[in-house]
Amino acid sequence: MDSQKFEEIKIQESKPEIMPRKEQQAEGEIDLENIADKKISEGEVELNKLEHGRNNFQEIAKKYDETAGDLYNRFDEKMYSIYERGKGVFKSMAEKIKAIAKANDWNELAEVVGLSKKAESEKAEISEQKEELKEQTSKPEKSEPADKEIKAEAETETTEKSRYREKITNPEALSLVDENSEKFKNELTQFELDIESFKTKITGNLSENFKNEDEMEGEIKKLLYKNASVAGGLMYGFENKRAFRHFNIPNLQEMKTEFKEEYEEKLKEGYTRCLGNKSPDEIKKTMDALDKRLEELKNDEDKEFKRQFELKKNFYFDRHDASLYAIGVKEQDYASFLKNQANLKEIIENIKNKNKDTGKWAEERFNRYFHYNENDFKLVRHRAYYEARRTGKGVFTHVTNPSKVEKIIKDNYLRGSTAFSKGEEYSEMKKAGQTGNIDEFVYFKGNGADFSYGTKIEQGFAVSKKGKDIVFFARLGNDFLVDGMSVAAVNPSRRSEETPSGKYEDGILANEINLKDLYLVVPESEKENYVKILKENNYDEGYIKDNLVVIPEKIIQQAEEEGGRGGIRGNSEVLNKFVNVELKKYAFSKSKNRDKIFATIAGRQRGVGFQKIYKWQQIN
Amino acid sequence: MNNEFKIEKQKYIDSAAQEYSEIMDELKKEQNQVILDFLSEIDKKKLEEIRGKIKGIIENGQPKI
Repeated sequence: MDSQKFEEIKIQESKPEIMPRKEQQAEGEIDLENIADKKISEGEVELNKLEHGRNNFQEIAKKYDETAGDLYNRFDEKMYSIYERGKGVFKSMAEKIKAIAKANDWNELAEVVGLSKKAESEKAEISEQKEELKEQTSKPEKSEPADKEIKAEAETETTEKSRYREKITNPEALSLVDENSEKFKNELTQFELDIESFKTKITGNLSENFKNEDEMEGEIKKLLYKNASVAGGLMYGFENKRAFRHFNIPNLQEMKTEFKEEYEEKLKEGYTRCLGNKSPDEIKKTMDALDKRLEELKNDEDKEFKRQFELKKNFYFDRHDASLYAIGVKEQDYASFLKNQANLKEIIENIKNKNKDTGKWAEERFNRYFHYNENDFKLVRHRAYYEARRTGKGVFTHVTNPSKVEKIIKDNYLRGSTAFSKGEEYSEMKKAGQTGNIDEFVYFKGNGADFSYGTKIEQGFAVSKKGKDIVFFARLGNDFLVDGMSVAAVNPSRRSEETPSGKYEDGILANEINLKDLYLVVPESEKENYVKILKENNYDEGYIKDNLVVIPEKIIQQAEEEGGRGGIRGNSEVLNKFVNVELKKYAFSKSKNRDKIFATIAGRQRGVGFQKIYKWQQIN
Repeated sequence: MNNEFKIEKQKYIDSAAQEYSEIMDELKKEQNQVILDFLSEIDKKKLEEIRGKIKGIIENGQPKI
């Protein structure tokens, strides 16, 4: 066969494939199957690009003769993991699109659309937290911004600085924000003076200004730690573990050992400061409540939980204040801080010229533990705002796939917001869509199709449709705070060591909340069923009486009517009202901490259509 | 199947595709970052090797060829 003939046949054979189906449709009609196929094909092209990315990496490795060994393996594994995640996302997307295209009637579409809506709301969650992600993934800058840049930033930050503050509606919280902002400024001024004073000493005659080398080293050590404590301590309560995590300090344990004295001193300072913010009565009441709780836990078999509670008690006092600190800090403040930090760096250079060993020691510590950039500040503030918002006076509800509830009851623990693969960075988790209000039983094991954005939606914790599906866990934001659980409950984190039960699968880290701290909210029609399940799992009468909350049948019916054909909606106003009025009232009446004022309950300020879904899923 | 229904479905298909595309963009960025980190690690490694060689020369003198 000559080549021309061959080409002709090839073209003829491939014609039906090439011709878009749309052309076969009557004019004006939409050929959804064709559109779906096209989108899936385009998606495949995107996926192939990821494969090329991995190939590129291997080419680069070859070029540098680095195609084996630990270094190569470590990075190759990362590339592989990204590609596999892409594959998982592709698979989910293709299935979803096919399902939408195949839907034959409105009911079927409602099924799929329910999923899509969930996907959208998750997407919104991701985009809302995009700034956080951006800041989280930003690497610390190698050099401090020039004065000119700092000044320019300070001048242009008017809108940004008020972004968080303006969302606070609670006047008491607002005054705390401003008060703490003022405190930050004072500490900042003090830090500036300390630096100036040390600068004078170090640039002068060393033997006159310091008794001996030890004294000089001691002062440098204090100054270095002060850099961290001004940044972390004032903004977030440096004594609070979260500050360390938020500031992403590497070699944390090492730092705490090396700077043990300074660390403990700061811990005391912070504790005193936080207690000082409260009236003696309030302190006593809170301390009593915490002690009582500890007493209750005395005979608890779960020693680990007790230990964790005790730890959390120690970190409690600065919780809400710390969040408000961060919110109150303005960009010109941290611009000043960065200026001070640059001065500190300069001082270290001076020391290096005069005393090489000490200078090198200080430089190493500075680089290793104690330097920050503006992204650190922005990130902490952003997260603090989230925390304040999510743990205010509202009711936090965790919507769960009803089919999983029995297992949660059996385990006695509700997994927190997220479950994720060991070794994955927070930013990677976010990209994989794992950091929302994820059903705790959707495991992500990494390196596979499971590890994908789509999977958790398919697992179906999303929007319930029938009355019996409306089963969820709830608790007051306040109570989370008092138990030091706010972050664990609603924010993703990697604090596996803080999960009370430690009952997580190998490779899975997760936050957990003991069921005794939660209300189990079920529809009236399901009450007997859940009483039975609770009894079977040894929950006592007291728990069932206090913690099993029933949604009256009337409410369920109204919600069903409101939803129409698609069933009860995630943004059901009827249920929303139930959560925010009835459930909230009940939770407050049962709370031991109802007299405490916490941060804020600023509402979500984002795209129309999403607030409501989240409103009843997560917070008030 | 009426057109209104199809339009609705198309809207959701577009949205799913868009969502996918955004995630893939993020993954691509992530890959680029991995490559950059890899290169930076190689740099460090090479530098260490050179330092080691220099140290060796200082301590032991020029190697005899």
